[in-house]
Amino acid sequence: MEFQTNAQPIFMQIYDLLCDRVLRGEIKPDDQLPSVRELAVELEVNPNTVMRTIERLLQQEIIYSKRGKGNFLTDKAYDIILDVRVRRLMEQKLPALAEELQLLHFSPTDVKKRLEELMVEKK
Amino acid sequence: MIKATNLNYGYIKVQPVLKKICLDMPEGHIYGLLGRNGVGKSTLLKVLSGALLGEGEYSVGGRDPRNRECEFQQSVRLVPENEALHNITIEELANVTRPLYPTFSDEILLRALADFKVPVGQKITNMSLGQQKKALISLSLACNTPYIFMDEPTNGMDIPSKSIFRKLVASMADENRTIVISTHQVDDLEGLMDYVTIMENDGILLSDSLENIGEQYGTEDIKEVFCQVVKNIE
Repeated sequence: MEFQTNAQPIFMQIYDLLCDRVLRGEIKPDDQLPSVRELAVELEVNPNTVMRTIERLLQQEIIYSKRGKGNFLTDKAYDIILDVRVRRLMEQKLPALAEELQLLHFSPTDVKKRLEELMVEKK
Repeated sequence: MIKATNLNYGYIKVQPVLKKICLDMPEGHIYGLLGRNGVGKSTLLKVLSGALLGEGEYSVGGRDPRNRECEFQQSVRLVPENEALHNITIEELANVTRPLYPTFSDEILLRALADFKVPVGQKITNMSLGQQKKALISLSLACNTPYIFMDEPTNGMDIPSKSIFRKLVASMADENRTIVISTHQVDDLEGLMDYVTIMENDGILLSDSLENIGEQYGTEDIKEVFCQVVKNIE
């Protein structure tokens, strides 16, 4: 049997972490991102790895850079991230969950109540 | 830049520890030096820092470590796994180390000692094993050299200290500095490495950026890559 490593590359884990912050409203349009060095120290990772994340964010127009000033969140960042994440939920996470539920003989209604409880708790 | 072509080393001639080591390590990166026990990781770090004299062609920052030129010594700092201990305080040790390194930074020293909560007034020999390690690493980082070689630096550190160690190293990484860390504790240091160098008994199996490794092996998980590479050789 071949096991698959689910672990995402570290630069993508940093990407997700920053996107989470945007979705939670902690970073808003035109807010400045912490510098590469600040992020590297905070997250205890190589600054070059943070740079890879920044390049990805720039490429997807989630952030824009002002020369000599740093990186800032774009107006459309929230929508871009939301779109990617909803797709990931629908195409990857939910199918995986559905498979697990079937394996354990759960029906959707069995988990509905628990799911509602969990989401209330989080609020 | 660290370069080596067919670098060999043996404590006794008939039994080489390092065989045909070829390296091409550009500066500005943190290298994870990985390999099974006994493949010569510590020996390689000692050879590159000039503590042991290897055979073949090799250079660090364009200088041959065997010549032990002053400029070379000032540019390289090795943190061995077990360091000779001194019956003096870290401050006293800093006073004799500082003049050797023009780049020495008291700012880094004080920050590292404070972050690690090293008992500064205590003699190093009276400290616990973990505190000794943290004191000596603080001093080595403070040397602020363009080449820093560390052998199993997180061995014996508790979990909060490992986190402080990662923050310190992350804050020191820049495009002019080359940091090589040998380790078995990949989990402790994975985030710090952007290059991986894997050694075996008969040379270097792989030395590349995580980005290239990801493209080649389909994963950037260092443990996974290590298993794949070492399995291929068996």
